[in-house]
Amino acid sequence: MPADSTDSEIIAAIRSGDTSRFEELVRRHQARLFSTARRYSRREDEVEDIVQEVFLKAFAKLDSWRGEAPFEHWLMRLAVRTCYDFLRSHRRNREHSLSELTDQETDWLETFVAVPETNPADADAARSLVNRVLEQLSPANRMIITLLELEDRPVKEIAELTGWSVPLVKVRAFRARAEMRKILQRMAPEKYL
Amino acid sequence: MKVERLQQTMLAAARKAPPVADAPFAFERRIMARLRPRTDPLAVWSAWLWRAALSGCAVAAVTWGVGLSPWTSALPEDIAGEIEAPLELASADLEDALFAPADSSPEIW
Repeated sequence: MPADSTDSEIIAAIRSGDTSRFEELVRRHQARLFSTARRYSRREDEVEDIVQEVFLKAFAKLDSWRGEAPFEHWLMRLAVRTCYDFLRSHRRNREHSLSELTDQETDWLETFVAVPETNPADADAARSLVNRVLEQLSPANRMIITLLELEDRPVKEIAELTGWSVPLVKVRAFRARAEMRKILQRMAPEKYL
Repeated sequence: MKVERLQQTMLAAARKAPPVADAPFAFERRIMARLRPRTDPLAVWSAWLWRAALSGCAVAAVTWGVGLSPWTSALPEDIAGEIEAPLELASADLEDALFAPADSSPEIW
């Protein structure tokens, strides 16, 4: 089998009965899906479950891909919707407090308080803090903040990925930011704000 | 106002640290293994039981068919008699077995 086959060629081969070629598609797109799934869960076993579900769905629905858009876009749509379903079915205990913050996270906040104009250097600590806040958001709000603020996607693309209308994405983004600020106010004591 | 700044700073910093994109070793093989049709032991057992039951019916039907076939009735009388005699005996035995409980019970009128 040629190593440089396009996604369309591989899918055509799968459709004509050579299902073993699906392995190539998995190998080709798994990194992107893992990166996406890790935005919605910190537990590695859950991340693997999400990615596995996306690929199983993709295989089952492969006939519905018509080749009008790149396969990667179609796969990302499946991934985003699977992640959203995951968020809705795994709503955890959404109560956190600053006492649970790690030393790194506390250092990040202290640096922010000391020099608010500059971004503190530790990006991992910031991501960890953002994850704490995101875990307390509703599934729709978490999805919006992730796609809009962390992945920096345009509203129109988010609408395509989620299946929501553009106005709905905008409304949800507004609400999500507001909810995030409320959580930050609740989480962060006066000395930080 | 400070909350907004904190939010923006936090998000901007988090954007710089995207999640790791590594996949576990041989993950694609795990997916392929999940795609292979799995054999359900219960389904296998039930298929074999059905086959056994149907083959029993088929044997009974063939035996019955041979018994009634024109070939059997067209046999020469001496051979046909030899074949029919056990059949008659068998039918008599079956009749005895079926009516045995009725025969052994006392007749009450």
